Amino acid sequence: MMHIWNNKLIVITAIMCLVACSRSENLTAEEKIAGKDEKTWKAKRETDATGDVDRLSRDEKRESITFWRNGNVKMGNGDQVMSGQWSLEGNNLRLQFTGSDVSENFTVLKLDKDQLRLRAGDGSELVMKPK
Amino acid sequence: MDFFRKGKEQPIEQRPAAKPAESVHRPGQPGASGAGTARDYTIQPGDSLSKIAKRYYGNAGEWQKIYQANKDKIKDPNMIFPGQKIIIP
Repeated sequence: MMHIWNNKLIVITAIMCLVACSRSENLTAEEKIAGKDEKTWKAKRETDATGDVDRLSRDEKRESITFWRNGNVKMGNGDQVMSGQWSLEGNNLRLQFTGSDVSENFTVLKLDKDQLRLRAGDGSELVMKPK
Repeated sequence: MDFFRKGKEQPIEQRPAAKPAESVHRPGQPGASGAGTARDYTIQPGDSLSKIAKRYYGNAGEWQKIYQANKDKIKDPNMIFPGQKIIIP
């Protein structure tokens, strides 16, 4: 009798864990990028169009990009800062920096709350992690 | 991050309110019918005159046109600085 109760307890615990996990992953794409209010990402790895790793410079390692849920975006390393607007349409991440007459568009290859992988127009790719 | 200057570039649809601020009339030319207009541009990190020329004219080789229009501000075409304001003729 005790054995049956133990088994039931294990099953109930497993179900509760699954429900909790699925709820925490139930984020919109915008929430994954910008969190509830804002989220800052740092470059982890960049590869060129052939897949070769581009070494990130010291400045690039210092740089970060912050997305706000209200559509604002800021990128820089503290000394130089660029700001603008961002939007996500399907798997297209669009950045429009202030003072620029063109928007920069990137294909989102992977998006979850812990990783953002983008492809640029020249085929190079950037993997980013939350700061 | 230079990566964020390598996206597929698409022209921005100008909002009507923002348009007058983006455009200035070229000195010495009449302001009629939109002819002879130039745009103000603020240099961004990672920019070069050839990159700007490619963005605006579709041809990086036309960087000299920008240089000539901004000779009073740009001493050396290889030395432009983020935040510097120039005119795109």
